[in-house]
Amino acid sequence: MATLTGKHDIEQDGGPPQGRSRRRLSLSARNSVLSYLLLAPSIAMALVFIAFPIYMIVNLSLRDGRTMLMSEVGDLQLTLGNYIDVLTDSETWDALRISVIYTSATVVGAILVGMGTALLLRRQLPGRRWLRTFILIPWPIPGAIATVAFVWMLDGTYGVVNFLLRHVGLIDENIAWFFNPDTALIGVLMPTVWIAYPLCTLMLLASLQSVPDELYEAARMDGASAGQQFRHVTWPAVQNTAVLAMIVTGLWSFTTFDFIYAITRGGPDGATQTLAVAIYNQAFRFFDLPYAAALGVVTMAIASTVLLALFPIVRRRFF
Amino acid sequence: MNAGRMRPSAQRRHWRRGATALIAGMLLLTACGGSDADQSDGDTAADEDGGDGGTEPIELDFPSWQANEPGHADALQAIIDEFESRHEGVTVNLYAVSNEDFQNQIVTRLAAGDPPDIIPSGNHFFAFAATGQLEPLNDRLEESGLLDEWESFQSERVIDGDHLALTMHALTRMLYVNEEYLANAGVDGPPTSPEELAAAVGALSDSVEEGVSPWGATTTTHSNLFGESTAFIVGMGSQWIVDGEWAVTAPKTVEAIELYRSLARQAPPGLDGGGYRQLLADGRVAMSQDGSWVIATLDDISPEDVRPNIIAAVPPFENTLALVGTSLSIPAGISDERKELAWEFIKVAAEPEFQGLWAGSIDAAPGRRGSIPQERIDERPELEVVADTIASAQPEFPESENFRANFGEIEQRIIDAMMRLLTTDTDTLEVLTDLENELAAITEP
Amino acid sequence: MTPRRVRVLRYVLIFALIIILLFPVYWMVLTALLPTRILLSPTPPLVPPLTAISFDSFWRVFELRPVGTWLANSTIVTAGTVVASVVLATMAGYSLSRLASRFALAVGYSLFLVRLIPATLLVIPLFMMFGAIGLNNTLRSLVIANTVIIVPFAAWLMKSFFDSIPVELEEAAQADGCSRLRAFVSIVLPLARPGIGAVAIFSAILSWGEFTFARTLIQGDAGVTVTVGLVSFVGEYTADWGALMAAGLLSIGPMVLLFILLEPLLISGLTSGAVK
Repeated sequence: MATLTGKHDIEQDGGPPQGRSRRRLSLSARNSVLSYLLLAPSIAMALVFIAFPIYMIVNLSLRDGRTMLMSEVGDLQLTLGNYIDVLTDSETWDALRISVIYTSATVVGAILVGMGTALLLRRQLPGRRWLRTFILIPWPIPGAIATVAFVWMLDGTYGVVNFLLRHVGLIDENIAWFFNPDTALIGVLMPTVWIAYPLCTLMLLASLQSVPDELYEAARMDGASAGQQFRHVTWPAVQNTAVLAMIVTGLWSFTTFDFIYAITRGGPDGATQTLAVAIYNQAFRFFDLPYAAALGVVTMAIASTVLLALFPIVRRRFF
Repeated sequence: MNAGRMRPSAQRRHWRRGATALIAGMLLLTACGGSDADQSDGDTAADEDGGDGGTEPIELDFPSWQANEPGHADALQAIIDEFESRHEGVTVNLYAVSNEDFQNQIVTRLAAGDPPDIIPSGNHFFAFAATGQLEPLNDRLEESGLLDEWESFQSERVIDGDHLALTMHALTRMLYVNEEYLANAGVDGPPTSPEELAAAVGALSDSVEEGVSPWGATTTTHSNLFGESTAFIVGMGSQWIVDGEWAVTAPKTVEAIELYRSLARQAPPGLDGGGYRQLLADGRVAMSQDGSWVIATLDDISPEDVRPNIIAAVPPFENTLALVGTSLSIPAGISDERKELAWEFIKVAAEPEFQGLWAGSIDAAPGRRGSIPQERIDERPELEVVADTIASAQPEFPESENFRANFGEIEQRIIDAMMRLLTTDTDTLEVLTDLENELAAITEP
Repeated sequence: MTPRRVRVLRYVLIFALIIILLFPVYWMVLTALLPTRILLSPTPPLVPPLTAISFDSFWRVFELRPVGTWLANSTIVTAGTVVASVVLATMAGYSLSRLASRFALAVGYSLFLVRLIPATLLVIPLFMMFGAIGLNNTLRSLVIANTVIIVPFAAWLMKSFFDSIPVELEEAAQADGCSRLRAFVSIVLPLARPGIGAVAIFSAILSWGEFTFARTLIQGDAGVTVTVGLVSFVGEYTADWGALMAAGLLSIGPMVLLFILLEPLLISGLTSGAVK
């Protein structure tokens, strides 16, 4: 059969992909008008839907005065005052700290669970198809019922999780997960990771598919332990996908606020107030759109800096 | 995957299938646009009302979180039917928006300049008012003489001298008691003073079995915290602002908050109103202070063997509260013709018959004095308790324009402070002092 | 360890993991079947007492709400989003794969910028934009909004898939006299089918579960999608927990079905690299 396999993606110890034939092709073959044309609609769409909103948000952030009315924004004075307020408010930095913890924990949690499940479900097992379907079920569960379910499951008095943990002996007394400022963030991370892991599982499983069993056999015959097998066989094959999965999960958890808001509204006393939640509070509870917009711009600046920093890594892996 | 080359005919078929899918998709997109484009009729207000002699049917956009709620739904429909019968060619599109979303949706629409025609509000009112997009009703109220017929709690909807909504009814807080548990704890009858309340809860906590809490209250970050703490403060004779000064650290306020705190700490942690109400209805909470709206809810959700045990009593405080329930507003950003129609609608809702109907069906006190007929009060004893309570009620908000104008942020600070009181052991006075400083920084009292 | 024991251990681990990971779903089912009185207790029943099970919640869902309308709306939006996302992502992915200019790649990376804008702030401008072009309160606006969010990731997914299809194929076709476009459509696209399948499922799930836009860009009850409709079970004072869970579980039915049907396609579709 005509081979499309080309080169295996299996890289040796993280080195760059071998012999990409593209580099030897003529430029005209690659940078054809068609290629640009095909990219154009997506770019155009992104431009329209990025450009105007960003313009509006930046415009809002530079205006003096509290307003909720878009049409009167133009009449307000220009000022950098909002940015000064945002950057000097300790709440902003608290929110940033919590955002960082929340996002990193989510990414780590989702990748770990995703990796674990992907490794377990890699092999040919009877019933694998059903098992793989089950594992993915949390993904389409609507946030509205996931949050309600977890609120009740983790309830301090009537929650089943406390019941189980006590039964098993892990804790002595009930933990009021969402009530106690120390545990609230952990409590909120649980449904977040729960919803986020299936995508990672899916992606990691897919790229694990490309690793032939023979490689594992060979490694085992050479006396490699499970850990070494992972490092030398598994990881090189999945690292690209893992990075992509981490980026997507990270972006999502950094900007999402529905989850946290539905469970704790950023409380107790700001313990779970990420930047996204803080923006929401400023806009819809304090009715200070310009301030919220400034906070939003700062958030986007931080996130894009991180994204930019990752670009070289992405470029190395994907090209 | 089969990687072999496809034969040319198969390729063509495949390509055709793809193209068909694409075209089908695009048709789908255009088709689905048509079916619900009618919905947007209501909000391109400015364009429609140019012409005269409207044979052009007008549809008033009326979203409400109460559109499906028992009691409210029927009353609203009755008002709509009456209004439509008086105005040929005008229909009212009442539709449900879930309570969680309601404030956001309306605020977004007000901010973007595309508001509904009739805006109902509960405590969402302050968010809407903050957009500056609500039409002042002063002239219309004077002209129609309605203000003279209206209860004093209408003042809670006045911002900077402008009546921005007409209050439909007011609610109050009641003490809900599970008599069985109370009897088991050796207490005769509901408490009638703060000291008796504390004692009763103490006795209950000793006697109730595992899995039952002696007290129910909101114990998570939620706007209920404002209402619940205010109920204690106002009940025991104080307010957030007294005589033009912040009174957050006044002795009576501190005393009230201490009581509130000690009780709330015996409530199941981490629950919001919906949560502990469910527990009360299920018989897992022995006593709580909650709005008068719970009476009807209990009828719905409480199992048969528990419901008879729960009674509603007057709260054990010297003062009772009047909480504005629903009020109706008109947005400033619609055409004059629509504003007139919306006002006509509100006037129908303000008529004695409909005031009595609406308030009566939800155990509330109507905005228009004397609208509930005595027979109705005789039928439903709870209404009597509510009526008594409201008779001597204090408004929930202090006398302060600034308080109302800055309510969004003030509420948030108060909520955070209450959470601090509930989740940490910090001294009450300390927390309240910090709170007072925060509030003073937001605005003059 | 003998291979047999390894296999048993593997199964044990898998089942343990599934039990832990799916426990919340089990709890949701119980909430739909049992009254809160039994479920919310200090000793919750891990195994439901058979006498207390009632399917009332499920009937109530259909009685109380226009679930059919919700499902129809969600389906329309999802179908539209899938088509739009697949088309755009496939085209963009191909470009990103073939274009060797760094500028183009940077531009492609910038597609991710869309995901940086906090939803809270994005909603008002979008609301105004759609209003200005007359797409206010239409399902089409949701399709567009969803597509914008999905395309960045989907494009990169397709890109990695196209990367594994050697350019030589197109070269060969061109040598045979095919136009560039024809080569793309008749040769490359069919080979990319699994990738397309993957993007289709991915956009289906994201679009089906989308909440923020669906609740702001649509007013009135004609255009309510399932995710927004669910929240209506949470009333102002109390919530109908049973019906909420019942409706929520019913709503994932179509998605689970999609999983089951397309699972093989999905796995091979996401292979970023060798194609077996």
